[in-house]
Amino acid sequence: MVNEMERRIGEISGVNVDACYLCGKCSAGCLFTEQMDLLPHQVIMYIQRGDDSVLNKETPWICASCFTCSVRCPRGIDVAAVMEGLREIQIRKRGYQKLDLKKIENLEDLPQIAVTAAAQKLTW
Amino acid sequence: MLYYPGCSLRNSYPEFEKSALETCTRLGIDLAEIPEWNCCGVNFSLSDNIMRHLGAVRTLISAQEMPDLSGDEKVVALCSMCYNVMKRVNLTLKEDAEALENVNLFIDDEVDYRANLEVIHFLQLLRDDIGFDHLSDCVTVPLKGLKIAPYYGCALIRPESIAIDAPENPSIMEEFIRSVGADPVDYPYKTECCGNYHTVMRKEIVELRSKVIVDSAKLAGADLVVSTCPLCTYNLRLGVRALEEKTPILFFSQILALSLGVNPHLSPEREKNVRELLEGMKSYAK
Repeated sequence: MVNEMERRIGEISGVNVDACYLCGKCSAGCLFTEQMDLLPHQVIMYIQRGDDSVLNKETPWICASCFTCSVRCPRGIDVAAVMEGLREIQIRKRGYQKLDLKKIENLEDLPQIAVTAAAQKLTW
Repeated sequence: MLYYPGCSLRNSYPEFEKSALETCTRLGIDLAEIPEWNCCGVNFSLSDNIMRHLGAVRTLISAQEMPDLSGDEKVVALCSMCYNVMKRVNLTLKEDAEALENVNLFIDDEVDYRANLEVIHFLQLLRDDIGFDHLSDCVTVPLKGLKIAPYYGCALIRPESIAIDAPENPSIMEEFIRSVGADPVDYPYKTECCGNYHTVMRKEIVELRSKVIVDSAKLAGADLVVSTCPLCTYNLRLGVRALEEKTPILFFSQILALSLGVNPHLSPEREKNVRELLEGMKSYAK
């Protein structure tokens, strides 16, 4: 039986989270684990268990969509898309957030793709 | 060849575009800029909503409707973020008939997109249309002895469906560096993420990442690092500053311009640094 979390992630990202056998290769190669409160494969495990406390974790917001995990997954799971699915569930529930431009250092120097990309993470 | 410039080349890093266009003139590459292009969107949405990419689709329609096209034209991008998004949007529309129908129904003020364009990166144009062998024949000022670390980042090689080379061990930039007469430097972080947009709100993450990358390239003996992405370039330069280093981070087109003897459009703060490096090389006759 597919649980509700798995169903929603599947619907939004097209990923079958149930295919994961928790080998941990995504976590081993992830460059941002130092900043995360849950390792990528643990995020998948929470979803498999239907534990929606995963929605309140920092990890999906730390993921920078570099696709290192997605390229390496032996089960063909797009882990980056799962992270985006989790962000989406939160954004659809709580509404969009805005980037506060006053809080951005070096706004003048930043290439505009940086600001656009950062804003999208809060609104997509 | 249809040309998609993208925002960052026009506003943040004109030297990237200017140097590339100079090399095109020299190599006989005829680029026609797509009229009324939009921002690509920067991120490809990993969710179910193709409607987030209407800007990119409108650009593709605008390209498709340019006069005198044979029907299977290529759209070339210089910025690797632009390449990534445009390529993925195009690929989605080629493979998913329902998505194509949906966007075409939605964009009812334009003709339908027929999804027969190809999106490529400028490096692919050099490899597949010009050929690195021919390119090295065109080089008038071989950058002999210059040690260059290629930085791929993410957007050119991941995910696999849009990769311009092997995602885990690409070599297209090394081949490019060899063709301009320089020596590519091998280092373990060439495909690791620089931290992307975290540079806006969580600069410490990017500093941590880019310091590791620059330091590793430096340890491997690199005189300079070349990149294909405006955001990676910005982030790596943060790393250079954090390390209190001077390693220049240049766009690949600037290296190409140097080797072809055309203007590399070096910015004043990098000009001196790069000229010093070049003067150290006997082959550079200036």
